[in-house]
Amino acid sequence: MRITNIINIDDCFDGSGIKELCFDCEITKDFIFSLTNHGTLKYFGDFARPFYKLTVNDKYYIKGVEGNNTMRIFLQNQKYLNDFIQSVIQ
Amino acid sequence: MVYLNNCATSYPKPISVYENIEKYIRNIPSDYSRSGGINGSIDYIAKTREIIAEMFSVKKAEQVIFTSGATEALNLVIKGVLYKGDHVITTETEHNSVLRPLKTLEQKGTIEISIVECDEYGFIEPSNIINQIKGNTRLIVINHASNVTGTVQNIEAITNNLPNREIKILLDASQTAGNIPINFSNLNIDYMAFTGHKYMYSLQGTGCLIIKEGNRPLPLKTGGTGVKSNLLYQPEEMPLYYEAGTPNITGIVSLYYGAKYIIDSGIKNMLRIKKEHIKNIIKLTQSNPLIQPVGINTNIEQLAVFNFTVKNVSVNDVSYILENSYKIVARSGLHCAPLIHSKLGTQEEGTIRISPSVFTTNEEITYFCKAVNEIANAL
Ligand SMILES: Cc1ncc(COP(=O)(O)O)c(C=O)c1O
Repeated sequence: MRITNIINIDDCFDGSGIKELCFDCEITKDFIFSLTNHGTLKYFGDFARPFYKLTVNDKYYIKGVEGNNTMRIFLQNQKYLNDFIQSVIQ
Repeated sequence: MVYLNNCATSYPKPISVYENIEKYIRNIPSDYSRSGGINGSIDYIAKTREIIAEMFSVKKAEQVIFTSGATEALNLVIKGVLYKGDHVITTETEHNSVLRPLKTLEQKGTIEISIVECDEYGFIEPSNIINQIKGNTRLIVINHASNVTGTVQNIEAITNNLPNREIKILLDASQTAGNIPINFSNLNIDYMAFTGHKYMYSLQGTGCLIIKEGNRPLPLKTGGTGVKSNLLYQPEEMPLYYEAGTPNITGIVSLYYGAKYIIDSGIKNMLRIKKEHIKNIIKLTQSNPLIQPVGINTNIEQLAVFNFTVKNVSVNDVSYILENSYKIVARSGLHCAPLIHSKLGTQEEGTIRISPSVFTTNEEITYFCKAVNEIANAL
């Protein structure tokens, strides 16, 4: 899977560390469960569409919904975006 | 999608708004107020001024100034009436469109500000405003209803107890215009600012400032008016003095049909429908101790808004799941009103705010309640 776009997300506070990552395909259940290799994964399968949240100690957390083409990353520091892309996506 | 974020921007708009915007932009541009006016075309600028004046019981249509929103209208007054050494009273319930211009003038050393506290529902005790008045108090800026809790302030209790009328009152009616009946003349205020894209059912980038006769703030901008073009200074008559530049006529058309829809449907009837939705939300969520309502008090006048948090869960996660998993649009955060949250106990992250519209269906409300119960129980 490939990242096709990274959109900055503003929130009420300093949103500079929040990015929407857009992919060229849907996020599958298999991909979500592969995230357990990188941090602590919580998966809520009973919602209308399943929600997941991955926390990677002190670096970032991501959240998303299965079947979407996007996920949201909350970075403690911008430099961890590359960490995420290199370790999780590639 | 289920849209429950009408406090931010109303959706959908009445069909007449969509249809007439389209009709207007597909026709040859024609503007009577700018020495135009093709035979048979509608003078929307004049008509809209009149309908707004009628809706808010304003004596003369020329007291209605079109702006790009509440922000511009509020800035116009704040920057147009205050001088060095003036004192301004405002409240903890204000939106940043009031707080930021005031704080900027304070930072420059132009004015001093007193910010009056609200209670845990966002209500301001009127006497607390009156008690802050000093010799140099020139302006009181007050949010008619908080865009967080929807609590409506008792404006007459302030205006009727002013020691003198040199103190001007600027009302931010962004949440109340089109939502509850407002009689500008009876409120005895000097200025009323509101935005068009919320409960007036108009486009973003529309709004009004209503100015009580006899008041003349300095204009925020000067420029072309399409008439009296031989003058090198801004024409001083109302409303031209404040309306430099080509107006947003498409937006004004939307404002006309939004206002007309409200008048035709009956504002009280519309409010009753919206409040019924809030009652249902309370009924369908109150047995869940994990869903914690914020700022709700059924014994005071509040607009149709439901704020809540979910115990031990980030409000951002809740709104994210609502939107992405359940396709329900609701807003979480501070709602651009940072000070009120200290009284609501939500200063860390804010709240999730649910604001239905007259077009929201009972099924949508039931679906939202089911979703939020599921989310609260699972997380
Ligand atoms: C109470 C209040 N005042 C002012 C505004 C600003 O409106 P606008 O951004 O349309 O100028 C808003 C909109 O969010 C509001 O809720």
